[in-house]
Parts: sequence; structure tokens; C-alpha cells
Amino acid sequence: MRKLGLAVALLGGLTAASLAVWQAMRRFDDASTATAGGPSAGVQPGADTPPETTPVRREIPKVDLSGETNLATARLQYMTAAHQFQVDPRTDGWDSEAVAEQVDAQLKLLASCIAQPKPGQLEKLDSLTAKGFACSPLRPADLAKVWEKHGVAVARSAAGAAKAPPVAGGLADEVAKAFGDFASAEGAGASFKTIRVENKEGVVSTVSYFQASRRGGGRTLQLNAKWNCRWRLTQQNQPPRLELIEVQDHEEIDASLPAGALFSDVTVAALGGNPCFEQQLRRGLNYWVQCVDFSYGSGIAERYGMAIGDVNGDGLEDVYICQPVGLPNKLLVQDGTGAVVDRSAEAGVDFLDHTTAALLVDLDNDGDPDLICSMFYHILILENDGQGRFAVQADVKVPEWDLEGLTAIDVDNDGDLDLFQCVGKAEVGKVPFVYYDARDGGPNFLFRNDISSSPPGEWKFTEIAHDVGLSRDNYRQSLAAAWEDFDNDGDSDLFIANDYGTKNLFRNDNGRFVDVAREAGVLDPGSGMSASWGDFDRDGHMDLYVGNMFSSAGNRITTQEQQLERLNPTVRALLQRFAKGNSLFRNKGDGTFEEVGLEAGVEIGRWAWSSLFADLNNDGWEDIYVANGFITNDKIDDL
Amino acid sequence: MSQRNPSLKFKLDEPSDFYDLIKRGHSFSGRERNCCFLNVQGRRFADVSAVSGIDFDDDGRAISFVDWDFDGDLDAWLVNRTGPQVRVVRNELPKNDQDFLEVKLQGVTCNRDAVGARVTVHLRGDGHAPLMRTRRAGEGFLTQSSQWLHFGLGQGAAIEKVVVRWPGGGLEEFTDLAPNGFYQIKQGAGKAARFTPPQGLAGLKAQPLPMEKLEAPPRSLLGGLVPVPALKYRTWDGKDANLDAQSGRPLLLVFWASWCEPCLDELKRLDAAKDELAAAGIDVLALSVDGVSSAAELATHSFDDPKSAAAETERRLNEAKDVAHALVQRLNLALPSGMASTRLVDGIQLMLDESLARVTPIGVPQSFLLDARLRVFGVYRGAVDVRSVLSDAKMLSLDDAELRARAVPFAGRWHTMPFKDVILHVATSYLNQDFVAEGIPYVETHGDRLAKCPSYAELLMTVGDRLLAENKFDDAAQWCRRATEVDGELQTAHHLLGLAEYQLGHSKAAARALRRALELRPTHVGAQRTLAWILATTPDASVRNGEEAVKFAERALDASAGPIPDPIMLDILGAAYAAAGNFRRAVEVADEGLRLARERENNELVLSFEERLKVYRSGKSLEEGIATTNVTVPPPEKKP
Repeated sequence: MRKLGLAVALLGGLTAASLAVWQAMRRFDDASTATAGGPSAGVQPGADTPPETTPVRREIPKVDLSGETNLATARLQYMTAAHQFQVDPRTDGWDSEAVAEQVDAQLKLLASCIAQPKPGQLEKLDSLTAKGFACSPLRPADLAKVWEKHGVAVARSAAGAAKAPPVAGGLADEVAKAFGDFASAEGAGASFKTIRVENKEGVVSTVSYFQASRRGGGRTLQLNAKWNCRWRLTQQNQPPRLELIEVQDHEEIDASLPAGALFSDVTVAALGGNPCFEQQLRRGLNYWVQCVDFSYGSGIAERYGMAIGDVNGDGLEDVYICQPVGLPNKLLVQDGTGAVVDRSAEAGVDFLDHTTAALLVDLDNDGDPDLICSMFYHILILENDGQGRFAVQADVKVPEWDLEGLTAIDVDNDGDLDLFQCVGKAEVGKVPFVYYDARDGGPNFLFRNDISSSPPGEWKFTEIAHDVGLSRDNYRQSLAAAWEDFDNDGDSDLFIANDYGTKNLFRNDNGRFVDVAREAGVLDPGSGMSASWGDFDRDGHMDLYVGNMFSSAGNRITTQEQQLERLNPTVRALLQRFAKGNSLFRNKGDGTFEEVGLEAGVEIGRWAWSSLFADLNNDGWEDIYVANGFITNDKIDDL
Repeated sequence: MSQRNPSLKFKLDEPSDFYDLIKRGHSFSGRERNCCFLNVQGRRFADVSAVSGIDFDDDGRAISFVDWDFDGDLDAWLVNRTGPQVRVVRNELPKNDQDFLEVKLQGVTCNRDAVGARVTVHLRGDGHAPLMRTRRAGEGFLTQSSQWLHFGLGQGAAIEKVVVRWPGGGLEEFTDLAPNGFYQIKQGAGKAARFTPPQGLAGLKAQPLPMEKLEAPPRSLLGGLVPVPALKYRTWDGKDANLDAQSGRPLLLVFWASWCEPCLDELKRLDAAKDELAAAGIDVLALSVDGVSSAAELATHSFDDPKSAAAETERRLNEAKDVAHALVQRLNLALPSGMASTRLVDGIQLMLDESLARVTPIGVPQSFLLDARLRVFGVYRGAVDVRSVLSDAKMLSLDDAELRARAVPFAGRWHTMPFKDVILHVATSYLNQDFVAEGIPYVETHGDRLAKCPSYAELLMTVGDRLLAENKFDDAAQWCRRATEVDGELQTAHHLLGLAEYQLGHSKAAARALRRALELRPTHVGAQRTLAWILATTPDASVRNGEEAVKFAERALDASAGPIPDPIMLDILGAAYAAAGNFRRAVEVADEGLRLARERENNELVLSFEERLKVYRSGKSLEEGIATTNVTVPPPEKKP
């Protein structure tokens, strides 16, 4: 009571002046009411910030995420902190991020010792631990082989999280014991990604994903685990010290492969014979945006895709590569040796326009793949003459610039392929952007193929999204569409991966589409970038894998209590989910799905783009490959 | 802060900091390694990324699967944001270890590509549901994979049957397919045709290919054709000269420094090529940047007193000039040369920063090819290749559209060449970044082109705003008036015009402009304040209106209600009451203002309020009393 009283008194002293003024103002208010008949209607006080030269002290509004009004602030705050930009976590109130930064530095040291467990290195570990350090075996001995084929063996620790007894010899001994075989390896590496940080009165608990690998003697070994650590914060500005390590979900992949890996890179052999490889394709967007200026609409975060098809009917697959504005798209045709030849100019498809997506599909059913290119405001459609030369047949103009995923499907079963074009950002945003529930995107388009009723040379396409029910909830910044008959009723349903929000699953009911994402359990709030269908568990129903964003910093921040108390629970859950990563939905066969990505171990696809099922090792089971990474620049971040 | 280009349809709702940081070379979840998960028979997947050989640290985007070499397993083509933009990776699965089946469909009554068809492969004694693939056109992110459907069958599989469900209905069953074969199935043919895959595709040599080294291109052509302002450099005799005092011919502007070894070679080479350049109609100006950055540094950091800073800057620049000049003489250079100024370098840098998505600081040696209108076309980082300059200069004679069409790194065809002029952003950047002296003539010179850009009125208004800040009220009024003429709805322009007119003593025009500003935005406190003050204090009886002054002053006070009112706001309200003849309220308000001023220990204000009180107590309005008091009238504000 006493303490509180004193505080109030102090506060009173400090604010006496402002209170007096406040009263004076009230008086004026009353007076103005009396003399001038009150403020005029329609005048909204406080709508503008007065631009006085003398600063006026105003109360800074607390960030409140519960209403729709502060969402922009919330998003900024989230994005800014989550990705650290140049925000100093210590001065900007992200206490836990400051700790995470220190933990990260300590784990880096530990990782470097694991990768090189040599005398001289290992001694450094003494500074890492606190008194009474305890840990479970860093490489559990109770490994059981769960799978082995074609030189690849997967073994897992049977125990969940092992007991962690105090260890006499300290961390250095444990590392030497567990990772001694890394000392003589050719390429050894280890890394941690910390996804949880909890700081309770100087005791810090963290959860990190641990990965390590080594090569040598024709073998590659990969270790995956989750390390739960406890740290003690001793003094200000001193790094935290480890008290406890508990290793969980330990997995070892032991591969003896003739080529050293499952895949090898044959890019140079396939492409190197073309000048465009060294001159154009070898360089990325960081370089080219310095050569093609803004006046063409260039952008450093733009993205471009590709299409595969046999353009000249020789039975060999060819490739069309989309390129940023100012660089010619590339048609690369196989030469019979596995290498490709640049035929872009002769084929008439070396477009300099910004081209995001392309398809090689037979639109006129004449047996050769035609070419479709999604550009700014244009979907360009070209006919193949059968020899791999193309001529423009239609220039489908759309009032949107941000054309993303392009797919073809015969939506009306009339025997020709129609086109579904996803649109991301809108040309004209109609509603405010909401980070976790964006509905401000451009509309996706469904173009019906009317070539059979078009005059020659003027292929017609008619937009019919509305007619088939696809104009509902159609403004969600869609990046990718994935067609599949998920309910095994014989027609193609449509899943749409939307950025910044929930997804759509349009069930095809005799040609009308009904969004059943909610009932089916695949709303999957997140930053969707792609989707893929495959029956991963071989139960006869197509399952769904969705590429989303994973951010370890995002994971840490959105699980902080001090952040959470300001959020409404729904938004909190959404924001946490937004950083979680990819989603795997198991099709239960009754029209609904259950999310199994975490148990299946496929959530951490990082900042994922294409995330696809494919049976990479021909064992009859669909594997997954994820392309990821957002912006790599010369200034490195460590998120 | 540099402005982004709103007209360029960027990802506008991203935090603006985001693009700014990326532009300045920061990463954002960069160098992430692609992930590869192995399906362990439908249970937990194993993360085999490190074993896969495809855990590239590229900024990966598209993945297309294809059995490129027809050896029965899936290879892939990858597209990245970083370089290499394309990778081809070969699946190294040992031969004959696992079985496979590949099927290509051909529709007859359905679409020819049979997109939407589902193929199921029933394996004998397998204990699982049949394997399923659906023929798709477009999947993943911006990707289309091969139209061959690929099935891994595991070891020693026996195919019981293959069922094709064609799009639009119709099942066909095939029992004639064997493992490890490629088959073409035509709708309705009743039987699968074995396909003999082409041979000799498997010989590609594997070779690791690291991510590109991130660096700036040696040569960039700027198709935006944005001019720089008439920036100044210094001649060897210490005089300022304008960049545009050139001859109406293209100019190769070369930056060098006496301490830069490659620059000296560069100067010698250019000197040797000067006749060739002259014959091609190209002027050369080689400017030393000696002292440029250190002088700028000094001016901003070392001295509190601007005069000393300027003097020291000048001294150092002269010192640097002597060193550079001595070098020019020693090398016996006949090339026109001189000293660059910090503003010259910064002025070009600003233009580049607004034109390109990456900020690359200007270094030495670096050269620029400008056309006769000072439009920057060529940027040459490092030693400049004279042949490049000659061929680039030839392009300058093309018309703008043709020039833009060709000013890209490689040949190709445009379907629709986009053009979003960035000159307005450049102009705005000059005005906002302390290049007012250069920026205003820039806006005048390029008015026709700027007028075609969206937000032209805002630009004119920004000029007015800058002039207002420099107390150039006449000019400010003119620019703001032009802004209102271009866009009558631009509230801030009317407001600024009002302020400028007020400062010029044109209370009638000021009141008119402010009333218009308040029509457009009735809640604007700044306009309310200024208008109230004018209505209360103007000597022009036809404008003066005490009642209205009170109304606006009260609204402004209401709207700015915070814990502490601005004493000047109280001063305005007091003056309004006095003008309306309500001297009792005028005194009350001025009293309150006086108290506030005392609390803040603002002596000037205290004095002012004391004078006000004398006037009001004598029953005079401020306008009447002002002549008898010695206190300056506080300008309501400078900025809207």
C-alpha cells in the first residue's frame, strides 16, 4: 500500500502541470459550448495531427491488435521484429529476441565445435556451460533402423526425450564422444535454428532444430534432432550458459551412394554450351535489377517460373524459362545428348516482357504444345506450328499486373483446355490489407477456351469465373492453384494457395464450384505460395501439401507471453501459425482432412515456394522437395 | 528517406522499410537450403536434405520434375531468384534397384493432353491402395512439370492392371503394362503402346555450381532516360562550373581519384582515345573525387559551428585539388578535367537510387554517359571500355521508344514494352533530400515531362513547401497556386498557398485558399488555426470576422485536444474572442496562455501574453491594439 501511495504521489507531482492544463481545457470546452453553440456537426476532432511547431505531448496509443484499425501497425511490428531488419531487439522491447541473439551466438560456437570436434576447438566449449551442466547423450545410442533402400538408411532413436544426467566431463567430452567421427570428415557442418525462447527470471529455455552432416569415404551422414536447452543468465551482457541439453526426435540418415548424393548437378553440362547460360542465366535478379531500371517495372523480389514440354515432337522434353523484364525468355530445346540449345529467337518466343508463368499445353488439340505466357496485364497465347515455332494467336488482356500461378484444365468438359490464372496483388486495392487475412488481392480469372468457334488466327478466350462459382472469396492474393479430384467423384476440384490468409478448396459439383475449405479443414491460414496433391499414405485418397512461410524468428516472437497478452487469442493463434511453415493434410476419405505435418516431420520447409510431392527414389511412396529462401543479398542475415 | 515508386505497382502493402533494406543489400530469410523429405512408407518422413545433393542455398522458386534422360527416375529443373537462375539436377538412383513405370496419355474425345485424367497402377500383393497420379498442367509455384506420369513401383513389383479415368468420364483398363517400361496410351485404343525411349541422354557430366558471386554489373544502360539537374563541378582554377555548360553533345563523365591506381590507367587510356571520342561527337570530362567524401564527412561531423566546418572543408578540398591537379599535369592529360563536388556525386547517386531496385554506391573509377539533355544513359563501373561507350552513344540518336526497347542487356522481342516514368520520383527525391537549389530548376526544365506523371500536382506543391521553408513566400505562393491549378482537390496545396499568401500580407487571398483547404478537409487543424488568426487580426476589414475566427479557433482547439494545449493556440483563440468583442473571454484565454508560457519558461511568450492582456483589458482587438504594442505577431505555423 505504502509503495503504491508513493508512486501515485510521484506521478501526481510530475503531472500536476498537465492536469491543470487539462482542467483549463475542459473549461474552454464548456465555454465554447456556451458561446458558439458547440462544435459544428461533421467536424471530427482528432482526425488530423496538428502540425504545430511547438511539440504537443499526446498520449501514444497502445498497439491494440484486437480491432481492425491497427492491423497495419500490427503487421509492421510483426514483420519488422520477426525479420529483425535493422531493429535492435534490445532497444525495441523484444527482450526475448535479445536473449535469442545471445543463445544463437552460443549455439553457433557449439555448432562449429560439432563440425570440427578437435582439440583446440573443444576447449572453447568450457565457456559455454554453467555449473552442474547436465545432458542426455547428444547422439542417442538406441537407434533403430526404420528404413533402408538403395544405399540409404534411416534410423531413429526410440526414446522421445532422454533423461539428462549431470555429466562429469562436461560438454567438451560429450561432443567429442558423440561427434568424434566428424573430425576426419571432408565436408562437415552443423547448425541450429531456434524456434522457442522463454525467459523466466534469468532461466532461459530454448527449443532448437539441430542438423549436422558429414561426408567422407563414400558416405554421407545426416543428423536431425530437436534440442531442448536450458540456459542461465549470469551477468548483464554476458552470454547465457548452458545448464541442460535434452535431445529429442533424433534421426540419422546414413547414405552410401555411388554419386555421393541422390542427385547431382548437371546444369553446366546441359546448358553451358549456350552463351545465354554464362551471360544471362548464371546471374540472378540482384544483378539484373541493376541493369534494367524501374521504368520497365523491374523489381528485386519478382519471381519467375518455367514449363516443360516437347515443343518439336522429337520425343524429348524441352523447357521454357520465364525471365524478368528486359531479359529474353528462353526456349531450351534438347539436342539429343541431354544438353539443350537456345532456340528462343528462332521460335519467336524470346520475349523481353516480364513473364511470371508459362504453360506448354495443346490448346487447339492438334498434337503439339502451344505456349501461354503470363505477363504484366497480358496473357499471351501462341500457337505451335508443330516444329517448335510459335505465333501469337491471342493477347488476353486483364486489368491486373500481378499474374501468378497459371494452370490449364478442361473445366467445362468440352474437350479443350481452359486457363485458370491466379492473381496476387490487385491493380486497385478495394479494401485495406490485413496481414493475416488479406482480401485485397486481384481476382483470379478462368478463361474458357473458345478456339473451336473462333476465326482462324484469332483465338478467343472468355472469362467465366463468375459463371462457375469461382468469383466467391476471389480476392485473396492467390499465388498458386492445384487441381485434383480430392473426393474421387471423377471431376477436378481446385485448391488455391493464397498469400497472407486462408486458402480455398473449391469442390466441383457438376461444373459449379463451392468453397469447402472450412468444412474440409484446409483453411490453413498462412502465407501460401504453392500446393501439391499426392497420396502420400497410399490409402487411395489424394493428400495435400501446402508451401507456406517458416520463420524461426517469427516462431519465437509470436510465442512470447509479453507479446501475446496484447493480442486477442484468435489473432495470436493466427500469427503463430503464420510462422510455422508448410502444411500436410491427410485426406480422410470422407471429404475432410486432418493436419499431420508436424508428426510427419515436413513442416519446416523454411521460406518455401514450390513444395512438391514426387517419388524421388521409385519406392512407390511420394517424397517431398521444397524450394525455399526469400531474398539473399550480400548482407547476410541469420534468421 | 528515399521514396519508392508508387506508380510502379510494387508490392505496395509490404512495409516500406522492407524494400528499402533489400534495396540496400540486406537479406531476408536468405541462403536457405532447399529441403528434401523422404517418405518412410507413409509414416514420419526423414529429412534427407543433406544427403539429397539438391539442398541448394539458392532463393528457390520453381521446381519442374521430368525424367529428362528417360532412365526411369525423376530429374528436375529448378528456377531461382538468385544466380544460377536455372539448374538441372539428375537423379542418381542406382539402375535396376527399384522398378518404375512411365505413362503418357493422349486424349481423343477429351482434351488431347488428357489433363485431368487419373491413372491408377494396381500392384499385385502390395497391401496398399493403388498408386495414383493425375495428369496436370501447372503445379507448385509457377511450374509445369513433364506430361509423362511417373510411378515408382518399389522392388520386384508386379503390375496387376493400370486404370485410366479420362477427364469427363470413361474408364479404361490395361493389363499389358510391365514394370520398367514407358507407355503411350491413347484414349479408346484399348491397349498401351510401348515407347522406346531415346538413348544417349545420360552422359551429362556432373559439376558443382555455386551460387553467383553478388556484385554490381560493369555496365548498365538506363532506359528510363532520367536527367540529372545542372550540378556543379570545380575547375582547376577554383571556379564553379555547370555540368550543362557543355556543348549540346553527349558527355562521358568520368570519376577518378589520385589515390586510385586503376583510375590512372583509365585516364591515360581515355586520353589516348580522346580523338576517337571527339570524332564520335562525345565530350569527356574527367572529374577527380579527391576530398569529396572526407569533406562531406567533415562538414557534417567534425564541427558544431558551420562556418568553421565550411572553412575546413574548403581548405581540405583545395588541398585535394592541388594533389589531383598535380597528377593531371604530371600525366600531361589533355582531357578536360576538374574536381567533382560532393553534391555532384550525391546528385547522380540520388538519381540512380530512384531508378534502380538496388542501391550501389558510386565508386572510382566510374563513368556515366549523358546525352545532351543531361539524361544519364550509360553507367560504367570500373574501367570503361571505349568501344562500349562509342556504341552506346550511337544509340542516343534513336528516338526514345526505340532507345528504350534496345537499352536492355540482351536482344529479344517486346510484346508490350512497359514504361513508367521515374522522373517524378527523382525530382521529388531532390526536393526532399536537400537538393532544393538544383531541384527547382529541374522541375522547371522538365515540366512538360513531369506534367505527364501522376502526382505532378504534389510535386509542384513540394516545391512550394520547400520555398516556404526558405521564407521565399512569393515564389512559394506561385508554385502552390500552380499545384492547385493542376489538381484543385489537393488540400495541402491550398493550405500551403494560404500560408504563403498570409506571409505576403495578402489576407484576402490567404483566407480564400484556407477556406478552400477546409472545404476539402474540414477537420484540418492547421488550416483552422491559420484562418482563425487571419480572420481575427487582419487589418483588412472586409476579411476580418471575429465570430468566424472564434468558430475556427474553437474547432482547432477541440480537434487538437490533448493533455496540454499549445499556448499559441490559446493566443489565436484569445485574439479571436477579442475580434468578436468578447474581451472577458479573451482575457481569460490569454491568462491561461500566460500561465502556460510561464510554466514553460518561455519568456518571449510570457511577454507576448502580457502585452495581449493589456490590449484586451483596454477593450481593444488585437488588430487595433497591435500598433501600440511592440510584440511581433506569432506566425501561426510554417508547415501544413
